[in-house]
Amino acid sequence: MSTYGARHYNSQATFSTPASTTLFRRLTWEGTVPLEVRVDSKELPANSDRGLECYYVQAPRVSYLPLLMPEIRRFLMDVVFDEAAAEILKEDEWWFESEDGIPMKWHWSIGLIYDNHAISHSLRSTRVATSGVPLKLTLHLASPPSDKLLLSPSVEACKQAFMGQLKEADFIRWGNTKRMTSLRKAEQDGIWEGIKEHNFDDFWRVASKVTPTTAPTRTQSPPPSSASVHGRPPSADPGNVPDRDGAYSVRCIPVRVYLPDGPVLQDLVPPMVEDGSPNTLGQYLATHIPLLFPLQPPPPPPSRTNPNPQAPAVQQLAYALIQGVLAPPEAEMAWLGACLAGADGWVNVCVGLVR
Amino acid sequence: MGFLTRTVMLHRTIYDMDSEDQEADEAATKPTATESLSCHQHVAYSASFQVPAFYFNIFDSNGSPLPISDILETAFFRSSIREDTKATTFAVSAGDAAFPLLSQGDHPVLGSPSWYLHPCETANVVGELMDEIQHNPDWNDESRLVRWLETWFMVVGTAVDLE
Repeated sequence: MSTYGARHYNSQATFSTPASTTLFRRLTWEGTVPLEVRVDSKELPANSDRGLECYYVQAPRVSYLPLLMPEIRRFLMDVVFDEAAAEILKEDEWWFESEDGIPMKWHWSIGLIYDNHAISHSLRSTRVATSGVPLKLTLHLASPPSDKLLLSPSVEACKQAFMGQLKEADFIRWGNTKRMTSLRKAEQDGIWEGIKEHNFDDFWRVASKVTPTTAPTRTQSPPPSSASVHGRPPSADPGNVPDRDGAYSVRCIPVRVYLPDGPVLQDLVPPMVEDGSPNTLGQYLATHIPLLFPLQPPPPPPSRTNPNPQAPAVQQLAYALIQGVLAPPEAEMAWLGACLAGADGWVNVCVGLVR
Repeated sequence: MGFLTRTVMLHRTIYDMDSEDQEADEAATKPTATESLSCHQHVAYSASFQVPAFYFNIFDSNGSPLPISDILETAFFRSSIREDTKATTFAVSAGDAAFPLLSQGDHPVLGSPSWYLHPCETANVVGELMDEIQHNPDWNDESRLVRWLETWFMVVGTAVDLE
């Protein structure tokens, strides 16, 4: 990981991805979650070897359940099922259910499934949600609940869902999908191959053409004409080529907020707020879910007895998980979009409750 | 976060295909019954594209949702949509468009699985039609929005039967 970053560190080429961005993308990419997959004992075919029907896997966050099915199938064939059972196994009938009885959406990334389960669990348990406990999944071999899950999970359907999300993210960022549609077919397929094979370099070779970078605009830009240090509005610097692709120049950042047990919120998230400063996670959450994320009151004015006053403590009611990481409120939305987005381009913010 | 919803009954003809007849010539199979289908239609807001989007599901008489191949066979879909399009189990795409015309996805409010007409071109198409009629000086903002929505329904109606 560090060697990968070092390779880019001294590069000052205009379009290179800064080492810090690559580092966070690498960390996001390498993130895995533990899964415990157990076949529903009532559905085991005749002559199955009971007692071994449990499969453990450390799955990449950026992967998808249908992509795990082949290795799960191999495992089941090796130790649990006999030849006759192989005939009746149909992967497009498979579905996964959590301990809480919630069917797992196969078109969501595994990292999102894990984090979404963690925050839903925060309603019922005081256990810290980020600890690496396996997500226990029951694998059902037939009759997926069609009122809860999209039909016909397959690798091809998963690819179509993924590409759709990627293009939608592209539209949100730039107001069009020119970046995605100008990719050659081989490149578009290459992005998905990168996911399937879990190959960071293959994926980012293409994905970097559509994903904004956190170019160090402060050092590369001409001196700002206005007095504002944070003044990086998209229109202010039309001639500055690197900035045009920068994380802070996008129209909006693709963000979805997941609340425990259900609702998904989506709104336009501009990189900058009205006063010209970067939009932060804290501001965004305080605007959209103020009851869970009340704004911090400002510290009282300094006095002789208290020259460095602290803001009064506000009881924390909720927390935000991004890629399984507790995200600080001062994190800038544009930076999150460039560094901590999922492979499909979306920043998934999972909100859990503090108990 | 609201949405519009209604349920419409559709019908499809069932062909008798029991085991003895399977060998028979297809032309010999006769329509034997009519099955009622229930079509749940929703209009929900697309936060990504900033326009309304049309979501729907069609259920057979047992309550099972129809797969795309069967949906395209119903009278709900305009026959023009079936021409020059490519269908998979997940989506129906036309030519080299960036987005599929029809796709599976989560309902934006309910989170439940749905089919939806992709809203990516909606703003352009409705905007083009609105440009032709927008010169009426008597319209206030509200009547213009109502007209916009009427035009939107008209555009959706070119793909599916909203009667």
